[in-house]
Amino acid sequence: MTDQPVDLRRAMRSPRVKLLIWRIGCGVVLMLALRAVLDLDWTSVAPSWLFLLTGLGRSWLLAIVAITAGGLAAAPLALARVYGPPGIRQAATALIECVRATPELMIVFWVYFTLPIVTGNQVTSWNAALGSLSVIAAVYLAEVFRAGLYSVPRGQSEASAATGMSGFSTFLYVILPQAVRNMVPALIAQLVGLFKTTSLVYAIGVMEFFRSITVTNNAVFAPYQLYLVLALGYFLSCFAITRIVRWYDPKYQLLE
Amino acid sequence: MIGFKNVHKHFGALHVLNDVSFRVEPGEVVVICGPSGSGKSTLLRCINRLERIDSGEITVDGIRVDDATPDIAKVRAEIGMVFQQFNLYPHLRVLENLILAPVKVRGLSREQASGIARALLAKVGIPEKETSYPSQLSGGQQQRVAIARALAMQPKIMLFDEPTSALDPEMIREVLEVMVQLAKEGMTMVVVTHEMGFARRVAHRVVFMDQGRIVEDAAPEAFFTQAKDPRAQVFLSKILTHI
Repeated sequence: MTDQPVDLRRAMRSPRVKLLIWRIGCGVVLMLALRAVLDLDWTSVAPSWLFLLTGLGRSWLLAIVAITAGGLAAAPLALARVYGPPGIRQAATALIECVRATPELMIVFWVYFTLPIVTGNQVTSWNAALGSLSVIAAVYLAEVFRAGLYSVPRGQSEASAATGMSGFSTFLYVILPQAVRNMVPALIAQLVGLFKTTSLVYAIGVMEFFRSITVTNNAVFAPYQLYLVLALGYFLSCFAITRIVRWYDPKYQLLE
Repeated sequence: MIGFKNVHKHFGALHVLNDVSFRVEPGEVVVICGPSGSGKSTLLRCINRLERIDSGEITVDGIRVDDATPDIAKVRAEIGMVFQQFNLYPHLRVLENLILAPVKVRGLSREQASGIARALLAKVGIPEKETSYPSQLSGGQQQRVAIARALAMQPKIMLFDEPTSALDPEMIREVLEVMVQLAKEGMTMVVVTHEMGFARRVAHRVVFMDQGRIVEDAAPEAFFTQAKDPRAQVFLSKILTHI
Protein backbone atom coordinates (compact mmCIF):
# COMPACT_ATOMS: atom_id res chain seq x y z
CA MET A 1 0.00 0.00 0.00
CA THR A 2 1.15 3.52 -0.64
CA ASP A 3 1.38 5.96 2.19
CA GLN A 4 -0.11 8.73 0.08
CA PRO A 5 -3.24 10.26 1.59
CA VAL A 6 -6.42 9.25 -0.23
CA ASP A 7 -7.67 12.13 -2.32
CA LEU A 8 -11.33 11.92 -1.38
CA ARG A 9 -12.59 14.43 -3.91
CA ARG A 10 -10.87 12.70 -6.78
CA ALA A 11 -12.09 9.31 -5.57
CA MET A 12 -15.66 10.61 -5.50
CA ARG A 13 -15.40 11.47 -9.17
CA SER A 14 -14.34 8.02 -10.37
CA PRO A 15 -17.13 6.16 -12.17
CA ARG A 16 -16.89 3.09 -9.95
CA VAL A 17 -17.32 5.10 -6.77
CA LYS A 18 -20.19 7.05 -8.32
CA LEU A 19 -21.92 3.81 -9.24
CA LEU A 20 -21.42 2.49 -5.71
CA ILE A 21 -22.91 5.63 -4.16
CA TRP A 22 -25.82 5.45 -6.60
CA ARG A 23 -26.46 1.82 -5.70
CA ILE A 24 -26.31 2.46 -1.97
CA GLY A 25 -28.75 5.36 -2.43
CA CYS A 26 -31.15 3.19 -4.41
CA GLY A 27 -30.87 0.45 -1.82
CA VAL A 28 -31.74 2.80 1.04
CA VAL A 29 -34.77 4.17 -0.83
CA LEU A 30 -35.95 0.65 -1.65
CA MET A 31 -35.58 -0.47 1.98
CA LEU A 32 -37.61 2.51 3.18
CA ALA A 33 -40.28 1.84 0.56
CA LEU A 34 -40.41 -1.84 1.48
CA ARG A 35 -40.70 -0.92 5.13
CA ALA A 36 -43.63 1.41 4.37
CA VAL A 37 -45.32 -1.27 2.27
CA LEU A 38 -44.92 -3.95 4.95
CA ASP A 39 -46.30 -1.57 7.57
CA LEU A 40 -49.58 -1.44 5.65
CA ASP A 41 -52.40 -3.71 6.73
CA TRP A 42 -52.47 -6.56 4.19
CA THR A 43 -54.87 -8.88 6.05
CA SER A 44 -57.88 -7.97 3.91
CA VAL A 45 -56.00 -8.23 0.62
CA ALA A 46 -53.80 -11.27 1.21
CA PRO A 47 -56.48 -13.96 0.65
CA SER A 48 -56.97 -12.61 -2.91
CA TRP A 49 -53.39 -13.16 -4.00
CA LEU A 50 -54.13 -16.08 -6.31
CA PHE A 51 -57.03 -14.21 -7.90
CA LEU A 52 -54.80 -11.20 -8.55
CA LEU A 53 -51.96 -13.33 -9.87
CA THR A 54 -54.38 -15.06 -12.25
CA GLY A 55 -55.45 -11.61 -13.46
CA LEU A 56 -51.84 -10.66 -14.12
CA GLY A 57 -51.30 -13.97 -15.89
CA ARG A 58 -54.29 -13.23 -18.10
CA SER A 59 -52.86 -9.82 -18.95
CA TRP A 60 -49.62 -11.49 -19.97
CA LEU A 61 -51.46 -14.06 -22.05
CA LEU A 62 -53.40 -11.31 -23.81
CA ALA A 63 -50.18 -9.40 -24.47
CA ILE A 64 -48.28 -12.43 -25.74
CA VAL A 65 -51.06 -13.57 -28.07
CA ALA A 66 -51.72 -10.03 -29.34
CA ILE A 67 -48.02 -9.34 -29.93
CA THR A 68 -47.45 -12.68 -31.65
CA ALA A 69 -50.53 -12.54 -33.86
CA GLY A 70 -50.14 -8.81 -34.38
CA GLY A 71 -46.46 -9.13 -35.17
CA LEU A 72 -47.13 -11.86 -37.74
CA ALA A 73 -49.76 -9.67 -39.39
CA ALA A 74 -47.64 -6.53 -39.07
CA ALA A 75 -44.80 -7.86 -41.24
CA PRO A 76 -46.86 -8.31 -44.43
CA LEU A 77 -48.75 -5.11 -43.63
CA ALA A 78 -45.52 -3.10 -43.42
CA LEU A 79 -44.09 -4.81 -46.53
CA ALA A 80 -47.30 -4.04 -48.41
CA ARG A 81 -47.10 -0.40 -47.40
CA VAL A 82 -43.43 -0.05 -48.36
CA TYR A 83 -42.99 -2.33 -51.36
CA GLY A 84 -46.56 -3.19 -52.36
CA PRO A 85 -47.94 -2.56 -55.84
CA PRO A 86 -50.44 0.29 -56.26
CA GLY A 87 -53.78 -0.67 -54.81
CA ILE A 88 -52.41 -3.04 -52.20
CA ARG A 89 -50.17 -0.28 -50.87
CA GLN A 90 -53.12 2.11 -50.50
CA ALA A 91 -55.24 -0.59 -48.88
CA ALA A 92 -52.56 -1.31 -46.27
CA THR A 93 -52.07 2.39 -45.65
CA ALA A 94 -55.81 2.95 -45.22
CA LEU A 95 -56.17 0.07 -42.77
CA ILE A 96 -53.18 1.20 -40.68
CA GLU A 97 -54.25 4.83 -40.60
CA CYS A 98 -57.90 4.04 -39.76
CA VAL A 99 -57.02 1.85 -36.80
CA ARG A 100 -54.31 4.21 -35.57
CA ALA A 101 -56.49 7.30 -35.81
CA THR A 102 -59.32 5.86 -33.69
CA PRO A 103 -59.26 5.19 -29.93
CA GLU A 104 -58.13 1.68 -29.03
CA LEU A 105 -61.17 1.31 -26.80
CA MET A 106 -63.38 1.89 -29.81
CA ILE A 107 -61.67 -0.99 -31.64
CA VAL A 108 -62.38 -3.20 -28.64
CA PHE A 109 -66.06 -2.19 -28.69
CA TRP A 110 -66.25 -2.66 -32.43
CA VAL A 111 -65.03 -6.22 -32.23
CA TYR A 112 -67.18 -7.05 -29.22
CA PHE A 113 -70.46 -5.28 -30.05
CA THR A 114 -70.54 -4.36 -33.73
CA LEU A 115 -68.87 -7.34 -35.37
CA PRO A 116 -71.45 -9.85 -34.03
CA ILE A 117 -74.22 -7.73 -35.59
CA VAL A 118 -72.45 -7.82 -38.94
CA THR A 119 -71.54 -11.52 -38.88
CA GLY A 120 -74.46 -12.80 -36.86
CA ASN A 121 -72.18 -14.81 -34.53
CA GLN A 122 -71.71 -14.01 -30.87
CA VAL A 123 -68.16 -13.36 -29.70
CA THR A 124 -67.03 -14.14 -26.19
CA SER A 125 -65.42 -11.24 -24.39
CA TRP A 126 -62.13 -13.18 -24.20
CA ASN A 127 -62.04 -13.77 -27.96
CA ALA A 128 -63.08 -10.19 -28.64
CA ALA A 129 -60.22 -9.07 -26.39
CA LEU A 130 -57.71 -11.26 -28.22
CA GLY A 131 -59.01 -10.15 -31.62
CA SER A 132 -59.11 -6.43 -30.95
CA LEU A 133 -55.73 -6.36 -29.20
CA SER A 134 -54.18 -8.30 -32.09
CA VAL A 135 -55.54 -5.79 -34.59
CA ILE A 136 -54.19 -2.90 -32.52
CA ALA A 137 -50.82 -4.61 -32.16
CA ALA A 138 -50.69 -5.34 -35.89
CA VAL A 139 -51.05 -1.75 -37.06
CA TYR A 140 -48.77 -0.23 -34.43
CA LEU A 141 -46.07 -2.84 -35.01
CA ALA A 142 -46.48 -2.42 -38.77
CA GLU A 143 -45.53 1.21 -38.38
CA VAL A 144 -42.52 0.27 -36.25
CA PHE A 145 -41.41 -2.20 -38.97
CA ARG A 146 -41.96 0.39 -41.68
CA ALA A 147 -39.90 2.97 -39.82
CA GLY A 148 -37.17 0.34 -39.46
CA LEU A 149 -37.19 -0.38 -43.20
CA TYR A 150 -37.02 3.32 -44.04
CA SER A 151 -34.16 3.84 -41.58
CA VAL A 152 -31.79 1.89 -43.84
CA PRO A 153 -30.17 4.35 -46.28
CA ARG A 154 -30.84 3.98 -49.99
CA GLY A 155 -27.13 3.52 -50.64
CA GLN A 156 -27.30 0.13 -48.94
CA SER A 157 -29.76 -1.36 -51.42
CA GLU A 158 -27.89 0.30 -54.30
CA ALA A 159 -24.57 -1.15 -53.17
CA SER A 160 -26.14 -4.58 -52.88
CA ALA A 161 -27.93 -4.34 -56.23
CA ALA A 162 -24.68 -3.19 -57.87
CA THR A 163 -23.01 -6.48 -56.89
CA GLY A 164 -25.74 -8.41 -58.70
CA MET A 165 -27.75 -9.38 -55.62
CA SER A 166 -31.44 -10.01 -56.32
CA GLY A 167 -34.08 -7.81 -54.74
CA PHE A 168 -34.99 -10.61 -52.35
CA SER A 169 -31.39 -11.31 -51.27
CA THR A 170 -30.79 -7.60 -50.82
CA PHE A 171 -33.83 -7.39 -48.57
CA LEU A 172 -32.98 -10.51 -46.59
CA TYR A 173 -29.24 -10.02 -46.04
CA VAL A 174 -28.74 -6.25 -46.25
CA ILE A 175 -31.93 -4.34 -45.46
CA LEU A 176 -33.72 -6.54 -42.93
CA PRO A 177 -30.86 -7.09 -40.44
CA GLN A 178 -30.22 -3.35 -40.27
CA ALA A 179 -33.91 -2.52 -40.08
CA VAL A 180 -34.42 -4.93 -37.19
CA ARG A 181 -31.55 -3.39 -35.22
CA ASN A 182 -32.72 0.14 -35.91
CA MET A 183 -36.27 -0.59 -34.82
CA VAL A 184 -35.37 -1.90 -31.35
CA PRO A 185 -35.93 1.36 -29.40
CA ALA A 186 -39.30 1.99 -31.06
CA LEU A 187 -40.18 -1.68 -30.63
CA ILE A 188 -39.57 -1.52 -26.87
CA ALA A 189 -41.76 1.58 -26.58
CA GLN A 190 -44.51 -0.04 -28.62
CA LEU A 191 -44.49 -3.39 -26.77
CA VAL A 192 -44.63 -1.62 -23.41
CA GLY A 193 -47.52 0.46 -24.73
CA LEU A 194 -49.29 -2.68 -25.94
CA PHE A 195 -48.94 -4.35 -22.56
CA LYS A 196 -50.61 -1.39 -20.93
CA THR A 197 -53.29 -1.36 -23.62
CA THR A 198 -54.40 -4.84 -22.50
CA SER A 199 -56.03 -3.10 -19.53
CA LEU A 200 -58.66 -1.67 -21.93
CA VAL A 201 -60.48 -4.98 -22.31
CA TYR A 202 -61.45 -4.44 -18.70
CA ALA A 203 -64.36 -2.53 -20.28
CA ILE A 204 -65.87 -5.63 -21.89
CA GLY A 205 -65.59 -7.71 -18.74
CA VAL A 206 -62.36 -9.67 -19.22
CA MET A 207 -60.91 -10.38 -15.78
CA GLU A 208 -57.38 -9.22 -16.52
CA PHE A 209 -55.07 -7.59 -13.99
CA PHE A 210 -56.68 -4.16 -13.91
CA ARG A 211 -60.19 -5.54 -13.53
CA SER A 212 -59.22 -8.11 -10.92
CA ILE A 213 -57.67 -5.32 -8.82
CA THR A 214 -60.80 -3.22 -9.15
CA VAL A 215 -63.10 -6.14 -8.30
CA THR A 216 -61.01 -6.96 -5.24
CA ASN A 217 -61.09 -3.36 -4.16
CA ASN A 218 -64.88 -3.28 -4.48
CA ALA A 219 -65.07 -6.27 -2.17
CA VAL A 220 -62.55 -5.39 0.54
CA PHE A 221 -61.85 -1.68 0.01
CA ALA A 222 -58.08 -1.41 0.35
CA PRO A 223 -57.24 1.12 -2.40
CA TYR A 224 -53.83 2.07 -1.02
CA GLN A 225 -52.57 -1.49 -0.97
CA LEU A 226 -54.31 -2.66 -4.14
CA TYR A 227 -53.32 0.21 -6.40
CA LEU A 228 -49.79 -0.18 -5.12
CA VAL A 229 -49.93 -3.79 -6.27
CA LEU A 230 -51.41 -2.62 -9.56
CA ALA A 231 -48.60 -0.16 -10.17
CA LEU A 232 -45.97 -2.70 -9.19
CA GLY A 233 -47.49 -5.41 -11.42
CA TYR A 234 -47.48 -3.21 -14.51
CA PHE A 235 -44.07 -1.75 -13.77
CA LEU A 236 -42.41 -5.13 -13.35
CA SER A 237 -44.11 -6.49 -16.48
CA CYS A 238 -43.10 -3.56 -18.67
CA PHE A 239 -39.60 -3.56 -17.22
CA ALA A 240 -39.31 -7.25 -18.06
CA ILE A 241 -40.41 -6.59 -21.66
CA THR A 242 -37.74 -3.91 -22.02
CA ARG A 243 -35.08 -6.28 -20.69
CA ILE A 244 -36.20 -9.17 -22.89
CA VAL A 245 -35.92 -7.10 -26.10
CA ARG A 246 -32.55 -5.66 -25.07
CA TRP A 247 -31.23 -9.09 -24.21
CA TYR A 248 -32.33 -10.37 -27.58
CA ASP A 249 -30.16 -7.75 -29.29
CA PRO A 250 -26.66 -7.94 -27.80
CA LYS A 251 -24.81 -6.45 -30.76
CA TYR A 252 -26.79 -3.23 -30.80
CA GLN A 253 -24.06 -0.99 -29.41
CA LEU A 254 -21.55 -2.10 -32.04
CA LEU A 255 -23.28 -0.12 -34.75
CA GLU A 256 -22.88 3.62 -35.13
CA MET B 1 -17.21 -2.72 -73.78
CA ILE B 2 -19.60 0.09 -72.86
CA GLY B 3 -21.58 1.97 -75.49
CA PHE B 4 -23.99 4.90 -75.13
CA LYS B 5 -26.08 5.87 -78.15
CA ASN B 6 -28.17 9.04 -78.11
CA VAL B 7 -29.06 8.67 -74.45
CA HIS B 8 -31.54 11.10 -72.91
CA LYS B 9 -32.68 11.33 -69.32
CA HIS B 10 -34.77 13.85 -67.42
CA PHE B 11 -35.25 14.47 -63.72
CA GLY B 12 -38.52 16.34 -63.95
CA ALA B 13 -37.80 19.48 -65.95
CA LEU B 14 -34.04 18.96 -65.71
CA HIS B 15 -32.43 17.42 -68.79
CA VAL B 16 -29.61 15.52 -67.00
CA LEU B 17 -28.41 13.54 -69.99
CA ASN B 18 -28.82 15.27 -73.31
CA ASP B 19 -28.05 13.13 -76.34
CA VAL B 20 -25.05 11.39 -74.80
CA SER B 21 -23.08 9.02 -77.01
CA PHE B 22 -19.72 7.56 -76.09
CA ARG B 23 -17.78 4.32 -75.96
CA VAL B 24 -15.36 2.67 -73.56
CA GLU B 25 -13.07 0.00 -74.97
CA PRO B 26 -11.84 -3.04 -72.97
CA GLY B 27 -8.90 -2.10 -70.74
CA GLU B 28 -9.57 1.58 -71.09
CA VAL B 29 -9.54 3.99 -68.13
CA VAL B 30 -11.93 6.88 -68.67
CA VAL B 31 -12.20 9.80 -66.27
CA ILE B 32 -15.41 11.80 -66.30
CA CYS B 33 -15.31 15.31 -64.88
CA GLY B 34 -17.38 18.45 -64.96
CA PRO B 35 -19.13 20.94 -62.72
CA SER B 36 -21.61 19.64 -60.16
CA GLY B 37 -24.99 18.95 -61.67
CA SER B 38 -23.50 18.30 -65.09
CA GLY B 39 -24.84 14.72 -65.17
CA LYS B 40 -21.59 12.81 -64.69
CA SER B 41 -22.78 10.68 -61.75
CA THR B 42 -26.05 10.01 -63.53
CA LEU B 43 -24.19 8.85 -66.61
CA LEU B 44 -22.15 6.45 -64.49
CA ARG B 45 -25.22 5.13 -62.68
CA CYS B 46 -26.96 4.42 -65.99
CA ILE B 47 -24.25 1.91 -66.90
CA ASN B 48 -25.51 -0.62 -64.32
CA ARG B 49 -29.05 0.74 -64.44
CA LEU B 50 -29.16 2.28 -60.99
CA GLU B 51 -30.82 5.01 -63.05
CA ARG B 52 -33.26 4.37 -65.87
CA ILE B 53 -32.98 6.31 -69.12
CA ASP B 54 -35.79 7.92 -71.10
CA SER B 55 -34.53 7.12 -74.57
CA GLY B 56 -31.44 5.91 -76.39
CA GLU B 57 -29.43 2.75 -76.05
CA ILE B 58 -26.83 1.50 -73.58
CA THR B 59 -24.89 -1.71 -74.12
CA VAL B 60 -22.41 -3.36 -71.77
CA ASP B 61 -20.34 -6.23 -73.10
CA GLY B 62 -22.82 -6.59 -75.94
CA ILE B 63 -25.90 -6.70 -73.73
CA ARG B 64 -28.56 -3.99 -73.77
CA VAL B 65 -28.91 -2.63 -70.22
CA ASP B 66 -31.61 -0.08 -70.82
CA ASP B 67 -35.17 -1.17 -70.14
CA ALA B 68 -34.89 -4.02 -72.65
CA THR B 69 -32.80 -6.29 -70.38
CA PRO B 70 -34.89 -8.76 -68.39
CA ASP B 71 -32.23 -9.81 -65.88
CA ILE B 72 -30.13 -6.82 -64.95
CA ALA B 73 -28.65 -8.64 -61.93
CA LYS B 74 -26.53 -10.82 -64.24
CA VAL B 75 -25.09 -7.73 -65.93
CA ARG B 76 -24.50 -5.98 -62.61
CA ALA B 77 -22.55 -8.98 -61.32
CA GLU B 78 -19.94 -8.22 -64.02
CA ILE B 79 -19.74 -4.52 -63.11
CA GLY B 80 -18.14 -3.45 -59.83
CA MET B 81 -19.17 -0.14 -58.35
CA VAL B 82 -17.59 2.10 -55.73
CA PHE B 83 -19.63 4.89 -54.17
CA GLN B 84 -18.75 8.27 -52.71
CA GLN B 85 -20.22 7.27 -49.33
CA PHE B 86 -18.64 3.75 -49.38
CA ASN B 87 -22.02 2.11 -48.59
CA LEU B 88 -20.42 -0.79 -46.74
CA TYR B 89 -22.83 -3.00 -44.83
CA PRO B 90 -22.52 -1.74 -41.24
CA HIS B 91 -23.95 -4.91 -39.67
CA LEU B 92 -21.36 -7.19 -41.28
CA ARG B 93 -17.67 -7.58 -40.60
CA VAL B 94 -15.22 -6.63 -43.35
CA LEU B 95 -14.74 -10.19 -44.62
CA GLU B 96 -18.50 -10.79 -44.64
CA ASN B 97 -18.96 -7.57 -46.60
CA LEU B 98 -16.65 -9.02 -49.24
CA ILE B 99 -18.06 -12.54 -49.49
CA LEU B 100 -21.80 -11.79 -49.37
CA ALA B 101 -22.32 -11.35 -53.12
CA PRO B 102 -19.80 -14.03 -54.25
CA VAL B 103 -21.62 -16.56 -52.06
CA LYS B 104 -25.20 -15.48 -52.80
CA VAL B 105 -24.81 -14.53 -56.47
CA ARG B 106 -21.87 -16.59 -57.77
CA GLY B 107 -22.69 -19.56 -55.57
CA LEU B 108 -19.13 -19.90 -54.24
CA SER B 109 -18.57 -21.71 -50.96
CA ARG B 110 -17.70 -19.53 -47.96
CA GLU B 111 -14.15 -20.96 -48.01
CA GLN B 112 -13.56 -20.18 -51.69
CA ALA B 113 -15.02 -16.69 -51.32
CA SER B 114 -13.02 -16.04 -48.15
CA GLY B 115 -9.82 -17.02 -49.94
CA ILE B 116 -10.47 -14.52 -52.72
CA ALA B 117 -11.56 -11.90 -50.17
CA ARG B 118 -8.39 -12.26 -48.08
CA ALA B 119 -6.22 -11.91 -51.16
CA LEU B 120 -8.08 -8.74 -52.09
CA LEU B 121 -7.78 -7.27 -48.59
CA ALA B 122 -4.05 -7.86 -48.82
CA LYS B 123 -4.04 -6.19 -52.22
CA VAL B 124 -5.75 -3.04 -50.91
CA GLY B 125 -3.35 -3.03 -47.97
CA ILE B 126 -5.56 -3.92 -44.98
CA PRO B 127 -5.31 -7.69 -44.48
CA GLU B 128 -5.50 -7.25 -40.68
CA LYS B 129 -8.98 -5.71 -40.72
CA GLU B 130 -11.05 -8.68 -41.84
CA THR B 131 -12.85 -9.10 -38.51
CA SER B 132 -13.49 -5.37 -37.97
CA TYR B 133 -16.83 -3.70 -38.47
CA PRO B 134 -16.89 -0.85 -41.02
CA SER B 135 -17.55 1.74 -38.28
CA GLN B 136 -14.20 0.80 -36.71
CA LEU B 137 -12.28 1.82 -39.85
CA SER B 138 -11.09 5.19 -41.14
CA GLY B 139 -12.70 6.64 -44.25
CA GLY B 140 -9.78 5.64 -46.44
CA GLN B 141 -9.84 2.10 -45.09
CA GLN B 142 -13.59 1.87 -45.63
CA GLN B 143 -13.25 2.97 -49.23
CA ARG B 144 -10.49 0.42 -49.83
CA VAL B 145 -12.76 -2.27 -48.37
CA ALA B 146 -15.50 -1.03 -50.72
CA ILE B 147 -13.13 -1.42 -53.68
CA ALA B 148 -12.21 -4.92 -52.50
CA ARG B 149 -15.91 -5.76 -52.12
CA ALA B 150 -16.53 -4.76 -55.73
CA LEU B 151 -13.47 -6.70 -56.92
CA ALA B 152 -14.58 -9.82 -55.01
CA MET B 153 -17.16 -10.41 -57.74
CA GLN B 154 -14.26 -10.47 -60.24
CA PRO B 155 -15.96 -7.92 -62.47
CA LYS B 156 -14.95 -7.00 -66.00
CA ILE B 157 -15.63 -3.31 -65.45
CA MET B 158 -15.21 -1.05 -62.41
CA LEU B 159 -17.24 2.11 -61.91
CA PHE B 160 -16.13 4.77 -59.42
CA ASP B 161 -18.56 7.50 -58.37
CA GLU B 162 -16.44 10.28 -56.78
CA PRO B 163 -14.56 7.73 -54.67
CA THR B 164 -12.39 10.28 -52.86
CA SER B 165 -14.83 13.16 -52.42
CA ALA B 166 -15.90 12.13 -48.91
CA LEU B 167 -12.34 11.55 -47.68
CA ASP B 168 -9.94 13.66 -45.64
CA PRO B 169 -6.98 14.81 -47.76
CA GLU B 170 -4.46 12.45 -46.17
CA MET B 171 -6.65 9.45 -46.99
CA ILE B 172 -7.26 10.31 -50.63
CA ARG B 173 -3.79 9.09 -51.56
CA GLU B 174 -4.16 5.57 -50.19
CA VAL B 175 -7.37 5.11 -52.16
CA LEU B 176 -5.93 6.56 -55.36
CA GLU B 177 -2.90 4.25 -55.07
CA VAL B 178 -5.22 1.24 -55.14
CA MET B 179 -7.03 2.65 -58.16
CA VAL B 180 -3.78 3.35 -60.00
CA GLN B 181 -2.63 -0.21 -59.39
CA LEU B 182 -5.94 -1.49 -60.71
CA ALA B 183 -5.65 0.64 -63.83
CA LYS B 184 -2.14 -0.65 -64.46
CA GLU B 185 -3.41 -4.21 -64.29
CA GLY B 186 -5.61 -3.44 -67.25
CA MET B 187 -9.01 -3.14 -65.59
CA THR B 188 -11.66 -1.35 -67.61
CA MET B 189 -12.54 1.65 -65.45
CA VAL B 190 -14.94 4.56 -65.62
CA VAL B 191 -14.14 7.09 -62.90
CA VAL B 192 -16.11 10.18 -61.97
CA THR B 193 -13.60 12.33 -60.09
CA HIS B 194 -12.03 15.73 -59.70
CA GLU B 195 -8.62 14.19 -59.03
CA MET B 196 -6.87 15.54 -62.09
CA GLY B 197 -3.55 14.08 -60.94
CA PHE B 198 -5.11 10.65 -61.19
CA ALA B 199 -6.47 11.48 -64.65
CA ARG B 200 -3.05 12.62 -65.81
CA ARG B 201 -1.32 9.52 -64.46
CA VAL B 202 -3.53 6.67 -65.64
CA ALA B 203 -6.49 7.83 -67.72
CA HIS B 204 -6.58 7.04 -71.41
CA ARG B 205 -9.31 9.59 -71.98
CA VAL B 206 -10.88 12.45 -70.09
CA VAL B 207 -14.54 13.19 -70.74
CA PHE B 208 -15.83 16.61 -69.73
CA MET B 209 -19.56 17.10 -69.19
CA ASP B 210 -21.62 20.23 -68.81
CA GLN B 211 -25.41 20.59 -68.58
CA GLY B 212 -26.04 16.98 -69.52
CA ARG B 213 -23.81 16.98 -72.59
CA ILE B 214 -20.37 15.60 -73.30
CA VAL B 215 -18.47 18.67 -74.48
CA GLU B 216 -14.92 17.31 -74.50
CA ASP B 217 -13.59 13.80 -75.00
CA ALA B 218 -9.81 13.76 -75.32
CA ALA B 219 -6.55 12.19 -74.15
CA PRO B 220 -5.46 13.69 -70.78
CA GLU B 221 -2.54 15.77 -72.14
CA ALA B 222 -4.67 17.22 -74.92
CA PHE B 223 -7.48 17.91 -72.46
CA PHE B 224 -5.32 19.72 -69.95
CA THR B 225 -3.32 21.77 -72.41
CA GLN B 226 -5.65 22.49 -75.31
CA ALA B 227 -9.28 22.03 -74.30
CA LYS B 228 -11.38 23.48 -77.09
CA ASP B 229 -14.64 24.17 -75.33
CA PRO B 230 -14.69 27.43 -73.32
CA ARG B 231 -16.65 25.79 -70.49
CA ALA B 232 -13.95 23.17 -70.13
CA GLN B 233 -11.30 25.90 -70.08
CA VAL B 234 -13.15 27.73 -67.28
CA PHE B 235 -13.55 24.48 -65.34
CA LEU B 236 -9.87 23.63 -65.74
CA SER B 237 -8.71 27.08 -64.70
CA LYS B 238 -10.78 26.74 -61.52
CA ILE B 239 -9.85 23.21 -60.64
CA LEU B 240 -6.15 23.37 -61.44
CA THR B 241 -5.56 26.65 -59.59
CA HIS B 242 -7.92 26.37 -56.67
CA ILE B 243 -5.29 27.07 -54.05
